[in-house]
Amino acid sequence: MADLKKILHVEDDADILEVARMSLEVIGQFDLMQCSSGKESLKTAPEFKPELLLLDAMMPEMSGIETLLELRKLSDCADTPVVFMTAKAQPEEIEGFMATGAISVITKPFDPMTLPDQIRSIWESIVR
Amino acid sequence: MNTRERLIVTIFISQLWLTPAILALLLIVIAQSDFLSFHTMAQRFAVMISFVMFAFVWATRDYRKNQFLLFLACGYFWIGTLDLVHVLVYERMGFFIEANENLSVQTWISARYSEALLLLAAPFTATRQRNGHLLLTAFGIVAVGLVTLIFSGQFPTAFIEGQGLTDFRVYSDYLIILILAFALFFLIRHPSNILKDEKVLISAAIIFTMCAELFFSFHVSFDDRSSLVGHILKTFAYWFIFQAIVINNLRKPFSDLHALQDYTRSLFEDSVTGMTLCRADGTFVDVNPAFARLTGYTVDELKSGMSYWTLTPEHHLEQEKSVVENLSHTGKLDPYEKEHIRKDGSLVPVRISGKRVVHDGETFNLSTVEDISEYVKGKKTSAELEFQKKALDEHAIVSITDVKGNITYANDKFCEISGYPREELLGQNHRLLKSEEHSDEFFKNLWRTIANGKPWHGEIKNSRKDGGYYWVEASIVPFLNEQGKPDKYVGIRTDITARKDAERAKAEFVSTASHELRTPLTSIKGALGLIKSGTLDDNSDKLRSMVNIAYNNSERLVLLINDILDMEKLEAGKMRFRMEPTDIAALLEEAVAANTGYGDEYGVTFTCFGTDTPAFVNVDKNRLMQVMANLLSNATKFSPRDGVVEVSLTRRDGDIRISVKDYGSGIPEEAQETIFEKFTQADSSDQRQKGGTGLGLSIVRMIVEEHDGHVGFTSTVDEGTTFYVDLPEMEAKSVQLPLETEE
Repeated sequence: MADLKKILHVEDDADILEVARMSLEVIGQFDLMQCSSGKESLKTAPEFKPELLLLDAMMPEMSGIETLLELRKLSDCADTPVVFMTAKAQPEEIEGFMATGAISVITKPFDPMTLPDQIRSIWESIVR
Repeated sequence: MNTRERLIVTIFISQLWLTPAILALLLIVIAQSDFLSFHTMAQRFAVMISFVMFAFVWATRDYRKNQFLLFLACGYFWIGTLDLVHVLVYERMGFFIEANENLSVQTWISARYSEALLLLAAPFTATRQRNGHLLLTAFGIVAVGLVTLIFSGQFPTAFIEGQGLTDFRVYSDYLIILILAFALFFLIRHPSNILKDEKVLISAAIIFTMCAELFFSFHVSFDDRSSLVGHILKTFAYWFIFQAIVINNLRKPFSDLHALQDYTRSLFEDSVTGMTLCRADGTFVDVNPAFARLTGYTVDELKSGMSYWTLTPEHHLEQEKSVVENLSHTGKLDPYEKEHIRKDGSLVPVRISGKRVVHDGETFNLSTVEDISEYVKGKKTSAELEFQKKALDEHAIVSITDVKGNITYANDKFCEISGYPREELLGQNHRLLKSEEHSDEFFKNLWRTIANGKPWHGEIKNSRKDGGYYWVEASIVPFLNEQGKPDKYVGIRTDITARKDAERAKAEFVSTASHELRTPLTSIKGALGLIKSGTLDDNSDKLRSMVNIAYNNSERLVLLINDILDMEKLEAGKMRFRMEPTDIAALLEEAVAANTGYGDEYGVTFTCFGTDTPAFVNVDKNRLMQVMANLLSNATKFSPRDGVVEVSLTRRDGDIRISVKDYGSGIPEEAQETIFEKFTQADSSDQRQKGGTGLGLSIVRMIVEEHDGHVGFTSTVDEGTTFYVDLPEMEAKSVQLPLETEE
């Protein structure tokens, strides 16, 4: 598998979206697609064909897990690795996210300077 | 048989034979010189025995179970009478001019017939009740009839002067012997309740009579040898009848009385219950060892002039006096409880009953005194246990199960909390209440502990009958049998459902609050991180954007923290309210003015209705301003740009209603139920987009409820929402406004 390029980020908080965009696009140099809701991501994903899904957990209408379940139904996202990015940071909550098949959970607040490296190392751990 | 009894038997036997033998010797000696005297003595002996026998049996007839002896005695009375006539009519006695030997023999033979028939009939009467007077009369009629027959010459001739006994007389003797043989046979064979001694003695009497008759049948003249032997044998026969009836029946009651006395004394001495016999003044006449043990004194000490009253404690004196008075009226002492003073000064609880007895004109009190220390102790313990159980039942949920966990007892609280009626619980296994909360290992551990005889303590979630649940803090204590094995388990539980629910709510709140705090922190930390790294130094727009993000989220964080703190204070009841009569119309105007700036940011205008006349409500002004700020900011955030928010004041059923109406998107139906819960917004994205902590409406509701008010809303999607707050209006006269003072 090649280096990670395309990340689909779904997050309902506009400020976090902006900070994450700076971090991943400007610093991480990823090909980033951002959506402010799960519903929006379902429209964007087939065209964008992400290599990694970065999902917020607590979102209105469709939560992170509900979004993942819907994305899995799309042929382009059926096997796409998923990382949850959440402020729900208690151990049993993290266990719950991992149980959905996520490859990792990044807890908020995250460090925008190290976030790209953190994502790359997660990526590499599954590539190896 | 003891030595004394053996001696009695020996004396009895020697008396039995010695007396008639001496009498016979005496009679024989007399007969040698004067046969008439011999005859008179022998006959008088028989007559005397007949009358004494009758007198004795007649006097004691009411105390006999069977009438065998009464029958005999009544018969013998008249036989004795006939014998007396026999002696009196004898010519040589000279009482009757016309008397002759035939008359004498006739009365004799009629007496013997009567005796033989009496002895034949007697065994058959043993079990029957007889009227003594009737018997005596019946036998009397027969005897008088016979005498009449004899004196009227109707009775067959029995003796002819010079020829001796007639055939009638001789055959009569044989017939009498035959009747007596039958009498003997029936007496021996008859399974009646005649005493064995009586049977033996009467049998002997019958045999002697038979022998006597045999000799009389041989006699030719008045004073021949066979007449002598006959009379001697008859004397023996009467002696044995006398023994059977008088001696035996005199001796027996005395021996019975003696035995009864021994028996009673032994009962008295060996009884475990105290017994006392006191004089009317309370002095002990007799006490048994059990009573002495109970009091700590010796029997001799008690009997040496001690009084019942010295054993009676002062606090029982009144009661005792009324008891004694009652005793003197009724003659008996119904069981009652008191205390006795022991020799060592301690008190012993006793139960006393008794009666008044009179002996030789003096009155005594006979009492039984029972030591009831154990009973009183048991009663006290039982009452204490009952009280403890009641106290436990007041507080705890209690059940008892057998070793298999089948419920054998459930108290009211158990039934109440589980929702099952008692009859449905009893006999059911306790797993009926099992919830899905705990693992199998949890229950295995519980059972392992109690089965090993150790108590188990822990918290359990149980299911209610209605499908609900309840949490209990339980102690399950095994009840061990004599072998140290549990044979039942007692479960004592406290309802901790409220605490567990509060804990869960707290945990949820902490989890949600930490999530809510982390969200703005993420933006702040991210923005500041990017600024700090210098990456954005060349791009002033992006730099400013990051600074704004950091600033706005810091603001949001402050609001959030304030709301969380308010929430906590309200929930803990620690928020202070300074209630005062407040003109709510003026307050609304003020609130609108204070929030106009916020409205301007969203291009929203506030309009007021009904605020031109004052309306007084007892409120904490600052807290009500907080309520209005929340409602106005919500209405503003959810109004379309350039929209209007209407604030109105109306009266409704004695309440003042404040309404805040917006023309926004409305609250979706599915969100309406939870809108007042913490960290809830109709659309969480709104929370971020519109700002807000998700705690505002929760805080509003809690503040309003602290004012005895009510908050609610009506909402239509795409048309708007109206939140209203109802507060009880103060009556005009009760309003005490601060006086304005002119400066």
